[in-house]
Amino acid sequence: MPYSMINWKYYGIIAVFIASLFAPLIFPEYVLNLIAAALLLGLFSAAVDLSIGYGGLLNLGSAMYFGLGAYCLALTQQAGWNFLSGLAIGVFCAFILSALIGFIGLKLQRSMIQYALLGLVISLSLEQLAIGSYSFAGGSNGITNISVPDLLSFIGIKFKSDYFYCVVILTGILLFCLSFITRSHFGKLLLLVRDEPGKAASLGYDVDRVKISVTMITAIVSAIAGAFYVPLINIAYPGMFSVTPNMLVLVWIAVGGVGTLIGPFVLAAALHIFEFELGSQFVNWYMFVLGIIFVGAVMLHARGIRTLIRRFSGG
Amino acid sequence: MDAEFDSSFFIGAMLDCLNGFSSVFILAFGLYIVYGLFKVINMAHGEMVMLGAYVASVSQESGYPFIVAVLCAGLSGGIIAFAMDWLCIRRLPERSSMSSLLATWGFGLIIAQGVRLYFGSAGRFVNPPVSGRIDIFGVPLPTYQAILFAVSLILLLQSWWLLGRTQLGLRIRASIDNPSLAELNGINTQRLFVLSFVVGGAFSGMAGALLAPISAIDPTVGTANSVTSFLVVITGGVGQIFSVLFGSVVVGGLRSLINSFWGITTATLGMLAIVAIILVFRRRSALLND
Repeated sequence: MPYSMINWKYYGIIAVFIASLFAPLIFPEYVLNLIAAALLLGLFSAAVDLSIGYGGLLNLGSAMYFGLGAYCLALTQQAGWNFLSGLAIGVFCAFILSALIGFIGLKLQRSMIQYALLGLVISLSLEQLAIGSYSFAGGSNGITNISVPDLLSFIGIKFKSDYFYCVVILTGILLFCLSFITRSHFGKLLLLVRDEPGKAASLGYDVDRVKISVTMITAIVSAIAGAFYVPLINIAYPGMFSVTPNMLVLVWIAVGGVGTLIGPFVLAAALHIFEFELGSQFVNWYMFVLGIIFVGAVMLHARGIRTLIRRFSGG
Repeated sequence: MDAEFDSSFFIGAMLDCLNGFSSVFILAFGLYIVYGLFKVINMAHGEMVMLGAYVASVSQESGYPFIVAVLCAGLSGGIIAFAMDWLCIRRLPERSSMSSLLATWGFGLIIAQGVRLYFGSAGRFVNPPVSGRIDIFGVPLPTYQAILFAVSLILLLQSWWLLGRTQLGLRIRASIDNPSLAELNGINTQRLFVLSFVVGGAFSGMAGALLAPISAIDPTVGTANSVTSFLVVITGGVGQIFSVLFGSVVVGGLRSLINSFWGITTATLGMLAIVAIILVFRRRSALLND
């Protein structure tokens, strides 16, 4: 990615974020919730893009970390716990799970396809677990009535739409962190490991450890996005682990631009808002069109993906 | 009295196990044809099964007999598979790769949404061609289930014969083991791939029609079908035609068996745990040449 492109993009993003801080003055509550949810979905797809675009690691079950963060928060809120403790538990679970999947798929098996499919299998098992545990997690209805918490109450501040501000600032910070990671030493290392794993190993880097680290970062950011997402839509439901969100995030990334972070972010956020505005019949059409665009994008990227996989199997 | 109850429960559980096995085997067979032979993962498989069920339901409503409905469903699956190959897979730089997996996933989304747009989200029904029950040691078994079991055995034996005992099977095996040497010997590997892919697609469609009387039909079942078939194939591996038998026994039979004793959630989770363990300890070369 050329560096001259980055600067104006970031100024633009900063401008948008500052503008969104004034949104509560104009829009009613439900629009604010919609915008916040869109931002979190954008953050989620940017986090997954870090793994796919920079790390070259395609997990077909990426949505499980998002869903895990969401479910951990919903369960702890249901039990009457603090928001932050629920967030911490979700992040911890996602961290452990991503370490486990990364270890098995990338270190033991060293196979991209196995890693991808293992993620899908685990995501679907979590869906079954959520559906099956009726008394504990509400079964197929999910956990409902999760209200927006008073996040800032512990420092004595409480004002209108404070949760919206928290989400906007958090998304801004995490998005900045993600883009900082891609430009840091670790980001360079990611590209080296993706494109030339043999060279990275000969320079003394632990290739597997780098790969597993990037999946952990993705998992943590996804879980944070999922946890903050739940109070906005009032519900955590088993469909969060199903094939549809796993597919959608790949569509956002493939269509928005692999390895750009901001492309998937903008596309996911914009589509969420359009989806809400234009209703369900439109959603059916747009999923249909997205499928076509997705196939086209895959075919365009096929050459890149092919070299990626060949590099991986070599290393 | 007590012992008699136990034995009939036991036979019932065994029959459930066989039913689970045969339906999963028929479901996964179309995927196995393509994946097991040419290592192309057809993620649209479940949606093709779903489409087959819709075609069967429409042709039954138009008054055609069940066997015609099955053939129509097979035809639709074959056409979809050919279109997928012609539009996309033959244009990819490499067939057995992540990009064919993702592209077929996109096609699956297109098929699912197309069905939803055309037929709506409401479920549909297909009547079984035969009713009635067979008594097996005092436990009733629906005749249609027995037919499905027979069909799965026929599929297994016929594909074993076709691949292992005929000229065509020899050519297919040659073009898998060493494509360039096969081409040098005048075998058109591309044409054989298309043939297998279309035949696999036809089996997916037929599976949809055959399983339609005993399963739900709506636009969302495609992903569930895909996942089940996938689990069968990755559990069984791609060694021989009999590995799909092993996969079906684990995924279908074992799940039904555990279901008889501890309920469906435990069964699904237990089955997934076994699959995950198999996936972890399988040698990497067994899945794909990636």
